[in-house]
Amino acid sequence: MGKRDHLGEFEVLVLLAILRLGADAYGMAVRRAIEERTGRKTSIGALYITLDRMEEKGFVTSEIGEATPERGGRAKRFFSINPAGRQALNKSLEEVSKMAVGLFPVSEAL
Amino acid sequence: MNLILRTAIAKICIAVFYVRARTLLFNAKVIMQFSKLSVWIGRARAKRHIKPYREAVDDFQKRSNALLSELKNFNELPENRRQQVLATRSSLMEEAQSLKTIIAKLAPIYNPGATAIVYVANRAMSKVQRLEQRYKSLSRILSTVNSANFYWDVLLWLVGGSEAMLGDLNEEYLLRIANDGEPGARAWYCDQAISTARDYLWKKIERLAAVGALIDLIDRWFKK
Repeated sequence: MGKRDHLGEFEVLVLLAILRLGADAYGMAVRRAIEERTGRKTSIGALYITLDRMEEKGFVTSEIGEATPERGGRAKRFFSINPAGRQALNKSLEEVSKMAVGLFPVSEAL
Repeated sequence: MNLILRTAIAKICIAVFYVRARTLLFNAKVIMQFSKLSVWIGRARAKRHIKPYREAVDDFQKRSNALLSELKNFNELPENRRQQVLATRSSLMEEAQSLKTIIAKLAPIYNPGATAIVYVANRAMSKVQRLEQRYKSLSRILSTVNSANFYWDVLLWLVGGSEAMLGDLNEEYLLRIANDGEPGARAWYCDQAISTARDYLWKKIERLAAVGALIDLIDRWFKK
């Protein structure tokens, strides 16, 4: 696994949100999922920049859905995780959980 | 006044799109010229590469024809000549087999020019597809010139926001109108548009900075 294959914190959140949403993972649903679960305000632009970058890396793939009137006739872009993305996500989560063993929740005494 | 301003902005957007399309067209013409050159070089290289094999096949053909004419009168030949003809026949059959193997194994000639052209052409193709999407996106924005979020949509289009992204914003905006009322929804849309434009511009600046750093590095290397 090269240096380019390591995930950033926001990339991990995005991949987890896509996993949770399954077949319904499109831009705004991913943004909402992150905001609801983490309370983190995210711009749709930052999300799309991250998704495009991960698509270039081969971690996710996207396909265009059907256009709907409530979206002004614009189509949704659905995202799904590739095996490389799953592998990178597993590795990142494993690293964090290994580092956090015995420390979480972080106490004042440490 | 408002409509005049909106129309002026629409005209600016069309001009921006026109300039981008013209640039792409120019790039396509340049690629076309390079492709022609690459094809010409590829042909010349292929000709040179195949030449020894062609000569070997021609030589084989000549010897086979000579053998065939001797085989026609095989019964009239003296015994020692018959033996020679049979030996030539078996050696030619072996040669034919090895020629077949060589021809089957002939690797395609590596043409770095063609590889580069294919790469650049694929990039240009994806740019054309993106331009087509941007055209659709622009025409959709301009068809709703009176919409409340017209200015923000134009801003997002100018920084490179995609159709799917604008659709997402539109969908959430309508939901927020139902939940929070129009002022709240508009404030949210404005906030999203500004932060998205900032993120996209930052990404472009980062890319420009990377290119600048590379040019600086090359410049220093040449000065050394």
